[in-house]
Amino acid sequence: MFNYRNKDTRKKHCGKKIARGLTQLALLISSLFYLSACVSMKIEGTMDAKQDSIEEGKVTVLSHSYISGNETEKKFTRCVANRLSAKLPEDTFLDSKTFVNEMFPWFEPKRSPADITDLRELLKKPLVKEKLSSIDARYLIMLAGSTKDVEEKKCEACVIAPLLLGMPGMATFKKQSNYLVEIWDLKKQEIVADLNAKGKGKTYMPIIPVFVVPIPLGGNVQSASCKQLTQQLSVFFTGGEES
Amino acid sequence: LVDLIDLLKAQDTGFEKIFTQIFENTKEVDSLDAIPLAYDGLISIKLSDYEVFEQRKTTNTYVYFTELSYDLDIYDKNNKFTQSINVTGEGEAYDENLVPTRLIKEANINALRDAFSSITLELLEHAELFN
Repeated sequence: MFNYRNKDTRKKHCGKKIARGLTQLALLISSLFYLSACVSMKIEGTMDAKQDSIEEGKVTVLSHSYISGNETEKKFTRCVANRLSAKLPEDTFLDSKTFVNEMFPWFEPKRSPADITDLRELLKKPLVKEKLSSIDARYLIMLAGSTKDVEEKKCEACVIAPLLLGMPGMATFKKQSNYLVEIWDLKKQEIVADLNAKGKGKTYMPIIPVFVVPIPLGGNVQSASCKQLTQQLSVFFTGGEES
Repeated sequence: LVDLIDLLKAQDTGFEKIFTQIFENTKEVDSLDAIPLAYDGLISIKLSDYEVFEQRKTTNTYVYFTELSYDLDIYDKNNKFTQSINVTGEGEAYDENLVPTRLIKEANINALRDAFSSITLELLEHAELFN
């Protein structure tokens, strides 16, 4: 086991977005916006040394939905599962729906083990062990956390004035993500890796009078968290060798 | 009414799956007159409560909650009442992209799964009564 504190993952994802603003007063004026959106990510945690092989069993991604009272976004869970399944060797990934259905009723939201102690208790049941063995499940990637709005600059003048005057305006939103990931080894009955991904980002929302619905532009913190975490998870399982 | 009909259809499928997984032979009967001459046990199931709640999340979006409960009466092979079990199921659904009818259906399914998980564990515990 080694401590994992990869400062290289603290990347700035800055992209330039262009929004075309159109006004509608007497004359039609068009203007162009250059938006610079930034997302900063930091991932810390501990990992066992690279696994010799994951041929011994399959990997499944599950979220701590309902259990912690803070449901991990379905979109985030789907994102991690989709990205990871694409990076892992064929037939080593077991989708969560199949896993939960096969393991019914032990991994239903209210009954799913909340921590490794619960898991060890559950694995004492012969029927559970038998089922896990029949579907060849070995690693459970447990996700928890969410992305939240932390600050919203509600500048009335930025919203109302553009609409009244036909001029384009701008509103900004700050988002913060905090995701915890644990990899449970069902054979060893222990946590073989834990990661904590924290991210911050700003989303710009241009108020363009021609369009009734404002369109958010800018960095997607949730998506960046998913991308970074999946990268680290795939390194754990493949040692960086993608399939 | 459509939601309840969908729920009852899903309920029948779910019970069939649970019973065939746990017991070697099962026979579904609609009335006591249709009970086979020889059997190891009898389980009577009744949906005793079904409620759907709506809660506003934002101006235009809602969360739907379904609560349901089942009463299970268990009889032994001599038709002697042995135990009564009450299980509840709770489910919720929220998705900005789904319409209310779809959300209610999802909340119903989640509540059914929750109730079925409790029923399965109860029956696994009681399965030995019938063997």
